[in-house]
Amino acid sequence: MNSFTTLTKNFLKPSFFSSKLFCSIVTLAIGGCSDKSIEEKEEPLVVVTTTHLSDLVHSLAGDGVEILSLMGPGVDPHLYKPTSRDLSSLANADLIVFHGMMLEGRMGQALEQADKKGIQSIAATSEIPNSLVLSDGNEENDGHVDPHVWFSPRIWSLCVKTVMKKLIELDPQSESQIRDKAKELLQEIELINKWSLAQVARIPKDRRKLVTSHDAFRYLGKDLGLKVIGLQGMSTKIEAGLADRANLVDFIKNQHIPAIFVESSVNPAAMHEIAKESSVFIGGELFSDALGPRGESVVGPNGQIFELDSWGGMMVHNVTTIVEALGKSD
Amino acid sequence: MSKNKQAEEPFIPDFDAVDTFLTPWATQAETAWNGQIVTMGVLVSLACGLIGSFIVVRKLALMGDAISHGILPGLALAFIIMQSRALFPMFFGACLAGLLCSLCIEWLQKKSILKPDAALGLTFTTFFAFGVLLISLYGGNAHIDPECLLYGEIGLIPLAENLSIAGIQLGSRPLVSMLVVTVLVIVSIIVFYKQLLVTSFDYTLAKTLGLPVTLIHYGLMLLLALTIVSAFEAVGVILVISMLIFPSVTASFFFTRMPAILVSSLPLSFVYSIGGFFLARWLDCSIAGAMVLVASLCFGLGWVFGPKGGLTWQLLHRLKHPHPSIIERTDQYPIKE
Repeated sequence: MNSFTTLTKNFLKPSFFSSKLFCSIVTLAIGGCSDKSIEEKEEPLVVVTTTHLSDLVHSLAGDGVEILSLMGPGVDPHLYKPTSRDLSSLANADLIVFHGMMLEGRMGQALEQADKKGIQSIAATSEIPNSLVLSDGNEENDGHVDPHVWFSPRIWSLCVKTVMKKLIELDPQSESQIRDKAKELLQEIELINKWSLAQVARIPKDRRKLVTSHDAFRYLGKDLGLKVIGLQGMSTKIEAGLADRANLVDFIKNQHIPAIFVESSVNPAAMHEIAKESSVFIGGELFSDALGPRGESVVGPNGQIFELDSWGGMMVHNVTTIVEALGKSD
Repeated sequence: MSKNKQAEEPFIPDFDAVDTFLTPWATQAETAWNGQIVTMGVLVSLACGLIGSFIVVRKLALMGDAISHGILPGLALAFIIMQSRALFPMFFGACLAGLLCSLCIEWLQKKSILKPDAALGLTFTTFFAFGVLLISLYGGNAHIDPECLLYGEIGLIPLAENLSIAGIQLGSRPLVSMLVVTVLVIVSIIVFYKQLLVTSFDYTLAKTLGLPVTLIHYGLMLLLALTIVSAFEAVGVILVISMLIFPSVTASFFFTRMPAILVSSLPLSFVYSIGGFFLARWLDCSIAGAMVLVASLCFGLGWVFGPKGGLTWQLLHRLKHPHPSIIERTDQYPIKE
């Protein structure tokens, strides 16, 4: 609208002449000479894809790096499409941390090429041994692996180490700080792991069944001893068919499942209908493919407070919600 | 600190000229990155626009849509036979299937009582369904997902693998192959201009002149298939289809002669690509979507203000010649030889 006024105003501001932009105009005008020499070096920019990774990098590097998260809370990574600015930020990134295992779909495939293009990038899941990875458990095994590894404290610890090594490579001066923080984080993960196991032990054995929107919780189920059933497959791309729904309703009725769960990043409509049809209640909202909103917290092991937008908060919230809903006596 | 971009943004962000127009070129990395995106946009619009001019005149505007879906079985078969996603077999399979699809459409139109649009819709959906079937039956771990094929992302071009021939780095693979195809399209149009023109406008005349009408038609279809195959995987089908139609249709509001329309696809492709890039930057949305939106806007402007049959022109014409019988009928396609 008032593009011209903004432009002229910015030109008149003294800060404009010292800004990056002015430098770059000058650079372009002079041509050739490197941009980096003029521009004062700020903290390195780390671009991450999912909220889990944003939290992970933040816990490790703290304020030592600038973090840009492409997917906000409540964004479904299977369906995410990068916008113009997201892509521009990739060009400027000093390091790109992505999840890998096809979680980001097409963008993940492209990011795997980034290394060859001279942009530092790392898939957080790149060092997980194949023996720990679950493949698609459905009848037609199409070679996809289940990417939702953050629900397994053991595997997530491996991801922490992978990202830690890369961050040290990026900023060797803060190696000891990053190592200390990684140690703290690994202890926290272990603490939550033990606490979760103790919590799940409170649910009667025959009720340890988790019914959710999509097949995201198989690692959680494996680690905590819950049987996991998802309405949709592993990717949220394909909507559940009518037969899937009918089967699930039958299953819930036959198995006397007390509660089913919706997910924060998947449309809950189908699960609400299923809850109605099979007359069970919705046990609550779980965080599956994205962490929780910022500024909310939950009380975890030893009365410790966990932010919902952190890995710990996500795990504590999910376990508490599951235990409360399934552990309730009729 | 981590920045969350979800924090209460207005539906339409404020327009910030500096951020929209200058920030994308602030660093060398960004300039190189965004430059590749804009270049790809120009190449795709140009190649598609040139081919599209002939396609639209032949009343086959949706042939692009048909071919882009019809290539799926070719991709699937190439994968099943080669058991790899190697570039060349996939490319070859796709072109072959695209060509076959257009042959079938042509054949159905001639040999049955079907209307052209029905023949088109029937054929390409059959082809597409066959492709889906092949993938689900034999694709195994193909990772060919029809959705992935149909919605490429032009913004990821800078991350595509580099093409190098004899050790010389040529640049991003989709960009290089699109450049080659664009040059091929331009050269073919220059060399076969007369033949393309006559067969497109006057089938009977072309026949009497003894031109190989069918051969020329299939040559054009092959060129169309080539363009679509090299463009769509990188930029998505919607962009390809719209770029086949928009440039020539928009230009036809300003010029009536074919050479002028062909030449005007060059400035139009720059407008689409650069305009779309900045629009996407401002609204922070998909670049391909914004490019098509800019193309629609240009079409709208041409339709309202265009001197050749635009709305304003029609109104003025009506005021000058109030008697209804004098009003020129404009339901014929406006492009002339």
